[in-house]
Amino acid sequence: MPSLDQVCTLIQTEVLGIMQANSVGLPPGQVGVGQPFGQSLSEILGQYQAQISIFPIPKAAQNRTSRKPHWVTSIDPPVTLTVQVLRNSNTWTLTFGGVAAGGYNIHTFPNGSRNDCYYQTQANDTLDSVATAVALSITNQSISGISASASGPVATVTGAPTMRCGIGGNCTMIAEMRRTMCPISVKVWAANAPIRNQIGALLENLLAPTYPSPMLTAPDLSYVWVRWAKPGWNDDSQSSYSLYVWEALLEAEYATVATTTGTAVESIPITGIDPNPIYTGGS
Amino acid sequence: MTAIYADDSVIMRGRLNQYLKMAGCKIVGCATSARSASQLCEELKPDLAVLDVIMVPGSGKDVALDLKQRGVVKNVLVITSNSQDSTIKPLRAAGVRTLTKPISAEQIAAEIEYIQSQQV
Repeated sequence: MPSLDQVCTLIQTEVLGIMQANSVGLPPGQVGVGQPFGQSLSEILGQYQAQISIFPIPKAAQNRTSRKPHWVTSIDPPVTLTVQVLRNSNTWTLTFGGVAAGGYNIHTFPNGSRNDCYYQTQANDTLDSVATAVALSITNQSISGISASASGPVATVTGAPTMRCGIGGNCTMIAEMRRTMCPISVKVWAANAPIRNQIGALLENLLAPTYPSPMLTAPDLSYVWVRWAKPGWNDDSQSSYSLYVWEALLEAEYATVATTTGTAVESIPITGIDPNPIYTGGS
Repeated sequence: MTAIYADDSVIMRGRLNQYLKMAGCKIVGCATSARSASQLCEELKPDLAVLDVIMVPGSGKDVALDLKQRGVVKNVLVITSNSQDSTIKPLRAAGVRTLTKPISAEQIAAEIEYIQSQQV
């Protein structure tokens, strides 16, 4: 789960990007996380004319518990080994390509989801030895009417009514246990109204129409979703002190996650076949 | 292909956002509830709507059937953790495509590829 400081820092990066993209001469230090103190604010405004502060309003945060956590890979593990599945009448060919390496998990389902034929690649595997091992993993299941053999990098399976084959690597998995929606204030403090208006308009125009709202990646690889909670407004109540304020409220939504280790197995679509056939009736 | 996605889970939204972009979709909207998903589809008329089933308030399944019946969105993909026929069959009978969780980037890419192949 990202901390509120981390959430604000992610938004700070977005705001900095907007400022830099529009050549606003505001040094990075002037887009800060947290509220500036009165004295430092007057010093800042004397030097730079503007300060943008990003700070959370945790008292107004809301929490929701996830109904049923679903595990997803926090980052898809890189896999250099590939497989192409083709059907030819009563046989299926599984052609292995790419680069074989140790530690990949190969799951082959030659009979719906009933038989999971599994092989984990070894460090000294080649494409040919992988095909041989996968064919053996199918043979070892002794599935009635289904046989498998290998030649070179191709495993051939005969008699299988369906075929799925997936290759994956070991990875970290995360599941959302709870999510928090916290208002985040973005406040522009400026020494004069034109500067305040310029920066406020930039943030308003460049963040507001962002559709959909930005999905940011937190340091723990979970996500932070940011959207407008309240469009910006000007506050001239302190203009007699040469302080002009623009403020807008964002809402940051982020998750408390549980973490575990797992295996990502990517399902390889079968060439030329609808991966998701439309149901046409029957039981 | 323009797409919107809807899920109440921020993690799943993040994943869908990533997978749809990887598959070449232009994301035009994101919703957190069934109701807001329906409103977004009416407003933005995307080529594809990807919906979770359980999104309080409302149901992604009902929204999917409604969008498909009224022709608001041509391609609707429902992602569900429930692979029971009572959920899947009415959706597929209405021409709504379905995927069962957990989903992968490859599955989403295969769906997009298939949808695009049907539009040629």
